[in-house]
Amino acid sequence: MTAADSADNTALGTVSRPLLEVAGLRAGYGAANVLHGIDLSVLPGEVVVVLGANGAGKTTLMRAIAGLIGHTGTISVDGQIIAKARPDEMLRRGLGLVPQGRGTMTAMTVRDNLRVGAISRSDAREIADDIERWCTVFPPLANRRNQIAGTLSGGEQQMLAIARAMMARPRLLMCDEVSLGLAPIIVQQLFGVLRDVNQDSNTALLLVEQNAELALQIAARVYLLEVGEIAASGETEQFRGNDAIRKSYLGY
Amino acid sequence: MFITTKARRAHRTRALAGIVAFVAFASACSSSSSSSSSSSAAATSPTSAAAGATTVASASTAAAATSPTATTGSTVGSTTAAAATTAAGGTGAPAGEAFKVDTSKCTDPASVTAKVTGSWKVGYSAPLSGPVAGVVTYALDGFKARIAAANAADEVKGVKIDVTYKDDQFTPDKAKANATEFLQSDHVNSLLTFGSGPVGAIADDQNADCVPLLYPSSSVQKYRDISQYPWTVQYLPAGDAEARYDIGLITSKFPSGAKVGIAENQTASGKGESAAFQAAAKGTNLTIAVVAPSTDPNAAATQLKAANVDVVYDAGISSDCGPVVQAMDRIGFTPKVVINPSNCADSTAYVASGKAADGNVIPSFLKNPASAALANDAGVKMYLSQVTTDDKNNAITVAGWVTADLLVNTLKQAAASSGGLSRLSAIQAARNQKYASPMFIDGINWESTATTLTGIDAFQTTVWNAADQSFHLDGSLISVAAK
Amino acid sequence: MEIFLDRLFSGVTAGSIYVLIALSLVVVFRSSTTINFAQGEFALFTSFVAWWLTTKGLPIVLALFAAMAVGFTMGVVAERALIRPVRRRNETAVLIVALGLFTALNGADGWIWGANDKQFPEILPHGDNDYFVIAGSRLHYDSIGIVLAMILVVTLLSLLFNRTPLGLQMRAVATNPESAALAGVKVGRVLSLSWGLSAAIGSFAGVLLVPVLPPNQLDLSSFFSILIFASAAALLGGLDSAKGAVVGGLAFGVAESMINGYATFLGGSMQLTFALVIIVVILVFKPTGLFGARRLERV
Repeated sequence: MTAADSADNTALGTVSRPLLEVAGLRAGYGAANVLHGIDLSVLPGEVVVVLGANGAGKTTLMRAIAGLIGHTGTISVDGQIIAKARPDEMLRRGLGLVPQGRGTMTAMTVRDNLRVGAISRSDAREIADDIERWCTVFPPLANRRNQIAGTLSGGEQQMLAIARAMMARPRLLMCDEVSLGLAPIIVQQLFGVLRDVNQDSNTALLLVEQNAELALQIAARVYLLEVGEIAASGETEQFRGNDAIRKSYLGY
Repeated sequence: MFITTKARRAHRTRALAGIVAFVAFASACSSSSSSSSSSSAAATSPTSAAAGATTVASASTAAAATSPTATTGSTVGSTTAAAATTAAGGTGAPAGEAFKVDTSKCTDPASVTAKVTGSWKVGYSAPLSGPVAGVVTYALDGFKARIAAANAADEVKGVKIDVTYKDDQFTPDKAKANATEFLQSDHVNSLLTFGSGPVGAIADDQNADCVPLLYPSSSVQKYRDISQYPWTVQYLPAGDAEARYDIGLITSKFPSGAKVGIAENQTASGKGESAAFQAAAKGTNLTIAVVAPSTDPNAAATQLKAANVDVVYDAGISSDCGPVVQAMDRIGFTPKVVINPSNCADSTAYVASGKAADGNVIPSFLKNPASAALANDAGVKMYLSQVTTDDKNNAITVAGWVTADLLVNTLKQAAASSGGLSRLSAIQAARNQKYASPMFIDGINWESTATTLTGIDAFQTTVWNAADQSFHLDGSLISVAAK
Repeated sequence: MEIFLDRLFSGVTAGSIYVLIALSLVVVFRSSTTINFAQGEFALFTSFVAWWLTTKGLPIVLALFAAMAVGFTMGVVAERALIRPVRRRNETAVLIVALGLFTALNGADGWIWGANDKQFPEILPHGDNDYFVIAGSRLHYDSIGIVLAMILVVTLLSLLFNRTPLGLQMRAVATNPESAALAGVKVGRVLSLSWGLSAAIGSFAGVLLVPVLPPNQLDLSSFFSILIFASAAALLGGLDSAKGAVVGGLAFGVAESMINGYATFLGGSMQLTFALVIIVVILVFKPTGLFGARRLERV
C-alpha cells in the first residue's frame, strides 16, 4: 500500500486533517464481531466508496460509525476521539447517515419527515428554505409534501431519505446502498444529486455500494471490504488499473 | 403493491396480546378475593367515620356488623349493670337434646375426648400481611384483648388459652398449609381463621381430624350443614336469616304490598343475597319488579327509576353499597325505602354518598362503644376496660372481640361440663348455646341447638342520618331465628 | 325520554373518563408502542398523593398540580429505570415489568396510606343542586366539567403533537425510532418525556375523577376497571390516535350505558366481558382500530 499512501499525501497534502478517521474498528451484534479491525479515513469534501460483497460488513461499518451500534477501536472526528458514539452526538459533529432501507417515517408526511431531519437545527426560516430547496432538487417530493411518506414509491422514499439526512446539513453524508432495489434510471438520478451535493456544498461522501460501476464514477478513493477486513484501498484510478481487482468487482 | 408492514403488525399484535394477558392476570387476582367475599359482612361504627373507619370492601373479608350511635329518640337506652352482668355471664343452658357427633371416624379418636389441662391451644391462620392485613389488625386487637382478659381472670378454670398466629395473606392455599401445620405438628385444640376462602380451604381437614373451627368470620352456606361439617361453627349470620329480616321490615312498612327493585352485585355473595331476598319474599304481597345488576351502578339506577319501585334492596358487598344510592340520587330518583345488607355498614361509604344515603336502612347487631347513650352500658364498659388500642371504636375491632368472647364462653361452658374440657365437649358447647355477648345489642343472642345453627338471632334496624353522619336505631329488634 | 337522557348523560360522562385515561395510554403507545398497564396505578398513586396533601391542608387545586408533577416524575423514572433496560430484550419483558409495576404500586399505596377508603375532596362542583334539568333529566355540572377537561386535554395534546418540536420528535420516535435517532432526536429523552406526560395526564384525570366516580372515594381498586375500559376504548379508536381515543372512549361509554340500560336481556352487565370481547374482536379483525395509522409501505 505504499503507493497508495504516497498518493494520498501527494493529492491532499499533509495540512488536511481527516474529517473522519477510523482505526482498529471492531463491531458486531451480540457476541459475534462482524468487523475485525477496520482502518479508514475520509478527508473534508472527499468522496470515498466502500465496496464489498453481501455480508462483508458494509452496513455494520456504517451503523458503527453513525453510533447506532457499539464498537471497540477508535472513531475520530476532526482528530478528536469519540469515546461513546451516539447518533445524536455523531450528527452534532457533522456525520449524517442515510440508512439501508431508507428509514422512512412512514406514518408522517413528507414535510414532517424533512422537519425531523432538521430537528438538530433551530433556524426556522432556513429550515423552511431548505425544505423548498430539497423539493426542487427532488421534484417528485414537491407535489407530495403533505402526503403520508409511507405511500411514496421506493425511489421517492430514497430521495426523501437523502433529503432528510441533508436537512441536518452534515459535513459528511454516509449512504448505505442507496441503489438497492431501484431502477437504473432512478439510481443515475440519485448519484447525480449526490455528486452535486459534494460539489456544491463541499459535503464529503462515504458511500457503501454493491453497484461499483456507478460509485466509482464519483469516488476519489476506494476501500475493498472482505469478511470484516479491509482487503485493499487506494485511489479510484489505481483501483481501475488493477486487473485482478477490477475483474472481481467490476466483472470486466 | 401496498401492504401493512408485517413487522409492525406483529409488533402490535403482541402488544394487544399483552392486554389480554393483563386482563387475565388481573381478573385472576380479583376473582380470588371476590369468591371469598361470599360471606363478607363488613362493619363499622358510625362515629369512626371521622376516625378513619375501615371498609372491608377491597378486603372482602368478614368482620361484622354495625353498631349504631344511639341518639335521642332511639329505643335503646343504657342497660342496667345487673342485666348486663347476667347477659355476660349467661351461657344459656342447652335447650333440648345435646349435640352428638360420631368420633369413631376421627383421625385420632382418643384425642377428641382427652381432657385438656394447662392450656387450650388455638391455631389462628390470619392475613397478617397483604392487602387485608390492615383490617385484620383491628379484628385481632379486639380478639387478643378478650383472650388476655380471660386468661388474666382465669375464666376457663385453670386452663390458659394459648393462641398461635400464622400468616395466610388471605390466600386459601396458605391457609390450608397453615392448618396442616396446626393440625399435624402443633396439635392445636381448636382452629380459627378469617374469611370464607380460608374456611373453605380448612374445613375438610379440620373435620376429618375432629378439631373444632370456632367462630371464623364467615357464613358459607355449605359449611353451615351440621351433618356434613359438624366441627365447623361460623360466626356470621346466615344470608337467609337476614333476608327474613329485610322482608319483615318491608312488609311492616308496606302492609298492603309494595313494588321492590333489587340492585344485584354480580359476585357470588351479591347474587346469594339477592336469591335469599327473593326466596324470602315468596308468599308475601311484595312484587319484585326489577333485578338490576349493579356492576354499572348508573345503568342499575336508570332501571330502578324506569320501574318506579317503592323499595330498593341493594344486594351489595361493602364496596358497592354507596354507588347505587349515589347513582339513583344523581338522576333524581328517590325510592321510599332503601335497604342495604348488614355488610354495607361502612359509614365512610354513607358519608361519601352525602344526602343521597339519608334514610338508608341496614340491619345491625353489635354495640357501638363510642355511643354516648351506651356510656354506662356494662357490656361497653367491660369492653373498653379490655380494649385500649386506638381502634377500639372500630366495629371490626368489636367484631374481633366478640369472636373471642364467643370462644371464651364456649370453653367455659365445656370446662363446666361433666367430662371437663375436651375437643368434644367444646364442640358440644358451641352447638348447644344461647349466648348474649356483652357487645351484642341488648336482646340479641348467638344461638345454636343440636340441629339448628341460627347464630345471630335478631337484628336491630338502624337508619343512616346524613345530617349528623351517623346511624340511628329505629324500632325494636326483629327476630330472625328459624321458625 | 327522561330515562334515555339519564343514560346518555351518564354514558358521555363515563366515556369522557375513558377518553382521558385512553389518551394517556395513547401518548405512551405513540412514542414507544408499549401499552403501559401500570398507567391506572400511576393515577391511583398520585391521587393518593393529592389526597394526602389535602389532609395536610393544601387546597385541592394545588394538590392537583403537585400530583401531576409527582406523576410526571414517576413516569420519567419508571421509563428510564425500569422499562428502558428491558426494552432491548423483548416486549414480553416490558409487559412483565409493567405488570410488576402495577402490583408494586398498588401494594405501595396500601402500605403507605392503608387499605381503607379515603374521602376525596371535590374539585368540580358536586353539590346537591349543581345541575341543569333538561327534559326532566339532570345534567350535572361535574359531568360538564369532566367533558370540558377531556376537551382541554385533547386540545393541548393535539397542539403538542402537531405544533411543537417536541411533538414532532414524539411522532418521529413513534414511527421510526432509528431514523429519529439518526436525525439527532434523543430518543431516550423523548420516551421518558412521553411516559412522564402520560402519567401527568393520568394524575390530572385521577384527581378530577375520584370524587365523581362511584363510590366517590379513593380506594385501591379505583382505577382497575377504568384502565380496562380505557384500553378497550383506545384499541377501538386506534392505539396511536388521539382522535381515535376520543371517539373510542365516548362510543364505549355511551354504548355501555345504553346496553346496560336497555338490553337487560344480555344480563345487563357488560363490563369486563364486553371490554374483553371488543379487545379480541379488534385484535383479530382490525388491529389498527378505527383511526390508527394504516402504516402503508411499499415492499
